[in-house]
Amino acid sequence: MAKGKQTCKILKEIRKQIAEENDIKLVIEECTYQGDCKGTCPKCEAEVRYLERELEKRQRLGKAAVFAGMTLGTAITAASCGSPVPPTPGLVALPTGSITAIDSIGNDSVDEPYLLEGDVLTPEPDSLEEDEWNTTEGYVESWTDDSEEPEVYMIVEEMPKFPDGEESMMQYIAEQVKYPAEAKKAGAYGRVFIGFIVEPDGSLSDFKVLRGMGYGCDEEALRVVKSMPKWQPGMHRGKAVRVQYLVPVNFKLD
Amino acid sequence: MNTAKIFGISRHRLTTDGEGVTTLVAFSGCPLRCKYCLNKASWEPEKGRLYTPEQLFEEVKIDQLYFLATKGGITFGGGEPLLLVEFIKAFRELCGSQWQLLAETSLNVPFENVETLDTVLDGYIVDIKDLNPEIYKAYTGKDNILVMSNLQWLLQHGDPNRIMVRVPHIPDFNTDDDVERSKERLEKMGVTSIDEFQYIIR
Repeated sequence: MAKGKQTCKILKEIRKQIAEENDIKLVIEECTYQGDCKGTCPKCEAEVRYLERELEKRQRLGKAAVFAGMTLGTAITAASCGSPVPPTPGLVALPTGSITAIDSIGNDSVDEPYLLEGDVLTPEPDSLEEDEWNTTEGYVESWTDDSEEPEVYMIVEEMPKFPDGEESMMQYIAEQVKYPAEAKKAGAYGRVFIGFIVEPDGSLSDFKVLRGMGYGCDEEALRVVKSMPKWQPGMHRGKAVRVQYLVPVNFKLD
Repeated sequence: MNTAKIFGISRHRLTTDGEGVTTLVAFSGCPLRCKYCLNKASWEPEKGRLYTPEQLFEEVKIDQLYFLATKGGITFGGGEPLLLVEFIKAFRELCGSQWQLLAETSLNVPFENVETLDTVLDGYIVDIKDLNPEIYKAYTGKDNILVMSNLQWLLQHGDPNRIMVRVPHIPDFNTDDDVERSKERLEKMGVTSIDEFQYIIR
């Protein structure tokens, strides 16, 4: 079945479910149109407007619209009469590769095709064009990615914490940071990202400037982060574990 | 005035970005220059039609009933949607909290944009390319330092399940082993949803 027709069927099923859930009488006629279908048409749109009006009427009478138990998955299953597509609970269950499936964008507001990367391609032989979006340059190191034991986690069940929480950590940093004279003189401002590991005993190690801004700010940020007191360690499956953490240090001129 | 150039709006996307019916809104302007980019129109920030958040809301609310009924909403793509911070913030105020707002993003944007929009967006589809900085740079023309720090920050500050990371096999740029390495590292970082796929060159 053409994609447009299938979309039309699924949307129709959703309208049917909305009507049923809200006791709205909706007579849906079988579409007999044989031409190219974009998934909707003036008749379909009229049904949506009708449902909206009916829901508004109910709301004026103090009845809230009911959408409980409605999923796209059930609509697709009902519309396809077999070959069910399971409901997709949030982003976690996105079907593989589905995003590449768009082949055009279309309504009156658009005159350019919209295709997603990977559909059809010809390599661009020209040298890459530079633009101005690149942000601060500076001393930058990336995470070490070795897999030495014990393992370093990035996300754990209970993330490590500065003694009184994140707000208190930001306050600590703000109080400790001394604006480097060189940065002040140059009018430089921005953020430095410092990465480190919170060890199982709460001590901090393996400090790195992940994104710097120069003018002495990287060294200052590193000094302040290194001076932090012991943290509450991260916990995973009931055990204190090593966790990588990232902290932004702000340099703002008053 | 708060405006954005939009070069595409695609309605009635089903099971594409999560559980509901969604509309894709594609912004012009992208920091990357991917060799296989199909939307080179998005490279030019001036291309497309100029919208205010109000005009966009008026246009896309035609599908509000579907969004509310299926927990769908708008997927902002492009181009790079995270460059349009004020526009998306204003749009959220217009559409309210019930629409699901997602961003399909490279995360190669200033941290401030990510931090601000994280209070507005419900989820992310991150186009990560390859985690190897050399491969990333060869393919996109940019380094991936911001991508990695932004991704790590997002994972640390909120539900990791709101982030889906797409890992492509990019012909002539990465190998199956590179893809495996990217996936392993992402899993280690705490990414719970990875979409591995193949770029097809015709």
